[in-house]
Amino acid sequence: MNANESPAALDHDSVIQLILNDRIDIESAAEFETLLEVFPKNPDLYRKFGDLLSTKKQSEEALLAYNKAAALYLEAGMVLQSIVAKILEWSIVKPSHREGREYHAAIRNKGGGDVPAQLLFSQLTYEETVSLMLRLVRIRLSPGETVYDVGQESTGIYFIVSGGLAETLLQKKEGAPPATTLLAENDIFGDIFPLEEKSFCRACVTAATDVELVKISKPTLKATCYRYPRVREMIERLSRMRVRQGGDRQWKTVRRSSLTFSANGNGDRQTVQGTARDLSLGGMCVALSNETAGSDPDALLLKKVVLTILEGNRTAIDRLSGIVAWRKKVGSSNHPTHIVGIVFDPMAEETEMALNAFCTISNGEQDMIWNLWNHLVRH
Amino acid sequence: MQRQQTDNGSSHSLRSPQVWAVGGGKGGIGKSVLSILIAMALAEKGKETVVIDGDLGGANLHTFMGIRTPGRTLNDFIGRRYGTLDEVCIGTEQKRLRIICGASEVLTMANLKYTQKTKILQAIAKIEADHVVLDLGAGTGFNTLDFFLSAHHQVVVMTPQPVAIQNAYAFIRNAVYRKLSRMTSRRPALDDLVRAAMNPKNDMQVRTVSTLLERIAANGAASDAAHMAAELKRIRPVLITNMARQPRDKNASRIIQMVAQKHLTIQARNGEGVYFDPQINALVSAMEPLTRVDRDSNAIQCAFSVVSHQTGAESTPDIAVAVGM
Repeated sequence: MNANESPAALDHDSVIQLILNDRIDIESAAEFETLLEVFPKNPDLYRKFGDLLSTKKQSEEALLAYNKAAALYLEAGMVLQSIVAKILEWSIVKPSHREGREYHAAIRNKGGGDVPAQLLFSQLTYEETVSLMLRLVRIRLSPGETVYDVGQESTGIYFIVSGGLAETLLQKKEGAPPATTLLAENDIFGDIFPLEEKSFCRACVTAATDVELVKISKPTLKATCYRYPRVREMIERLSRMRVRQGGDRQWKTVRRSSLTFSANGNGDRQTVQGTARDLSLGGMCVALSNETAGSDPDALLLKKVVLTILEGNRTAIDRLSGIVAWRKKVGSSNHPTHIVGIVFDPMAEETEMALNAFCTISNGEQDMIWNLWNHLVRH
Repeated sequence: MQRQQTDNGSSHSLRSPQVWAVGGGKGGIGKSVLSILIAMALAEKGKETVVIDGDLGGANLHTFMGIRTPGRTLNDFIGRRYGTLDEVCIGTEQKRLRIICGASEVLTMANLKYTQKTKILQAIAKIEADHVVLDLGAGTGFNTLDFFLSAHHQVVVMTPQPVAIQNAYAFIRNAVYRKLSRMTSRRPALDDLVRAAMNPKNDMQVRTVSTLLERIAANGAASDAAHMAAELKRIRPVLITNMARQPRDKNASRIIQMVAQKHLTIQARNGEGVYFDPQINALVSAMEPLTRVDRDSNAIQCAFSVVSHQTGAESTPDIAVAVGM
């Protein structure tokens, strides 16, 4: 997080999201590795780790990170995101023909769900997939940046890898307000048809959040479609779809809940309080309370902890154990917020399921279930 | 079941079978056993019945029927080795009861393609049987929820442990929001509201489905809200507490019934509780078919009771809606 940025941002965003948006800097590869121990199933973090390693010219390590990200994305049903990670991996070391075919088979097996970009890539033949993958150009935008405006000549077709954009279409009827549609992850957009002629943009598309896109330029797509006519038909059809549905993500962002834990290492023991943020089955991030942070957050590093997650005064999950693997100070020097990342020890299935339920049911629902259970079932 | 003779001598059914889906979110709570018991109860009532292993990620229903290596599986149908689901059915010791085995080494419910899901749903509607019982896998993936929502009779199983109750509730909650999300998928403004409300920590302070519908109506979509409310009335799962050891344990399903009514605006039915039955465990351990269970066992009696209640009012098919026809 930038030094002059308000720590209040932490009240709203997940720590992972702040890292992905470069609002919390992870300076070293070693620090990132400890963070990945906390969230071992998060493909977004592996992708980010790969980017960090690439900028540090650690190509071999970056390749492994992109490879892991591609596999995790695919596992989560996020085919487009997997393909982008794979492109980055293969930009470091060119794949063998066999690797290419195996990856293509994995995409086909994964299937497309109801999402335009996923549907497209899951239906392409190997040759068609390679032809498109080789020509995708990555683009990053900040909120407010415009992809194209009404009347501009269309230059390509775009696939949304992450983030959201607003598509504003002027109405033909005079005086009618423009219609705005939110474009989301996995949507395809761009007024490029007919391919053989000049075409012009009918809408204005602007980034609503931090966005990553991949683009295929019109001349390139035209050449590809000339060789593979089916690609044209599919893109034309799917670019009209606006069905938003992500993959089945295996990681969760937990609602705000207070947390206490006992840190016990080297013979000392202390009770610590904080607010849970991101939660996965592998670990969690905790923003420490001011009183706790006032002691010495650095001393918590590598200590064994036993956690109790509270909701209000009620214990939601008890006796989770783990180790503090990562810590970070964010915010201004006058008002810092201390965050720790905790890697959970292997847990019983019951605890694992309880964590899962904790993330998917509201306080009211959970309270009602617990109250009724105490009243009606508990012996 | 009524059948009609065709010109070439083969027969086909005049109507689609009634589909039962047995789900519950958590693994190891007895979904497969209850699926078989319900199928047995239907068969014993004289109905031609097929039980399908829908737990494609961990297919093992056949082992409960004493089948070690199935000769034909659902994958043979998906892979087009057979043209209909009837052709991959395997007979069982129980008269009028057939089984379609799963094939976990090839497919998982999580990666079932949309076209494969559609193909299975359409093929289920064409099975020559009176009833089809679908044993769903654990978890709340979209495909599992879609199979659940497409069924005429939805059964949710739990055990009397808090975590199993939470997960059974989360399963129903996800099914409700999946239904709403599918209804609004082409209406971005409404879809945003539904997706936001799905998040239990949403900032809109929408904590119940009725509040969500009020919010949708207030946004100028009163007819959509009314339509959604009507569709939600079609979700009427039967809740079964399995492996109860004391009478009090059977109240677990009552908890979900009350929470679902208040927070999800759905009317779930409190089904019979099933006591833990060592005989079932013994049959499973010996890999003997569950069809050999004593007919006076509490478990099979519960299945009879569920079947009697449900078949009293057979539902309107929803498969066409589920596959977007």
